[in-house]
Amino acid sequence: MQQIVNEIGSEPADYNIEFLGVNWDTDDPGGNALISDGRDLPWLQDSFAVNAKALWGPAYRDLVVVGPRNEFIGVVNLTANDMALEINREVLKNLLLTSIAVLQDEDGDGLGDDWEDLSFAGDRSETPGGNRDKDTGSNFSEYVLGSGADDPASLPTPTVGIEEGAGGERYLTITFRRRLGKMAGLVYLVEHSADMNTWQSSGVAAVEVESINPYDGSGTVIVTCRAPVPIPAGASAGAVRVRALRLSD
Amino acid sequence: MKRLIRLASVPAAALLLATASSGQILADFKLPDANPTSPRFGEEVSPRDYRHQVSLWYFGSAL
Repeated sequence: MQQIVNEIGSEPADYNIEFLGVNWDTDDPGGNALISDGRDLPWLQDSFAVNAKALWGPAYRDLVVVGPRNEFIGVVNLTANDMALEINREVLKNLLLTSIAVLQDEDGDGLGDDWEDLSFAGDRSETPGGNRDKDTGSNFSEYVLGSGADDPASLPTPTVGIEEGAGGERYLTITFRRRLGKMAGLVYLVEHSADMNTWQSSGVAAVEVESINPYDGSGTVIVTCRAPVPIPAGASAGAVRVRALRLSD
Repeated sequence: MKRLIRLASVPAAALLLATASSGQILADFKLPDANPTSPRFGEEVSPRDYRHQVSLWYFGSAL
């Protein structure tokens, strides 16, 4: 599986692909420890009370590809299609490429199609500068920072803190949600300032100190970034902010 | 467009995936993650948790 993902050019995280397994032996957890040994993918135990097997109706060893709206993309059976054979890997690779293509921005407005569809009930006429729910956050700011664009009570909520370094120096931090994967075509810049007039920028990758995926269906990850330089000794003020830019801008 | 990829005939255990069309919304469910080395161990995991992402769901046996 990893080979296939590598063949399409990147790591799963870049394309925002998650792998999961379901033990379809209903209410029979025997063997779960063995099959999950050495793997860190979620391995779910099906049950009569929930019965995913009955809900989706897979065949044994089916690999089901699910899109960003929880829609069915396709299925490949790993018994019928031996992944040791290149022709079968090509089939799965093409299916993955199809699934990745649905994570696009067909109307080119900077808002992901799946996000627009789920946020605005399929209405893609909203613009990044618009404000569907008439709160204080534009559609674009709600998109890039993972709040609800159709809910005035939901706003982007970056939080600022102070982290102490090994030598006692103090750094400003900022915690915010950013969209998962590279398909969003976004870059996040963390900027810091001593006087709120002159801002210095540094890429997120250089200063990201923590990243937590809340798996809440928002397509975002909660990251904490640290300003690259400490607060000057004796300074009375400092500031840190995050800016999101479209790569195409 | 129907997008079922089975290079050889494998009878489906139930009807949904065998008749599903690309784009059809799949039913939601919640099941516990039984892998102690998974970051989601002990949590109830749902397809809805992976909205705005592409997810691959493998159905197999642990036996």
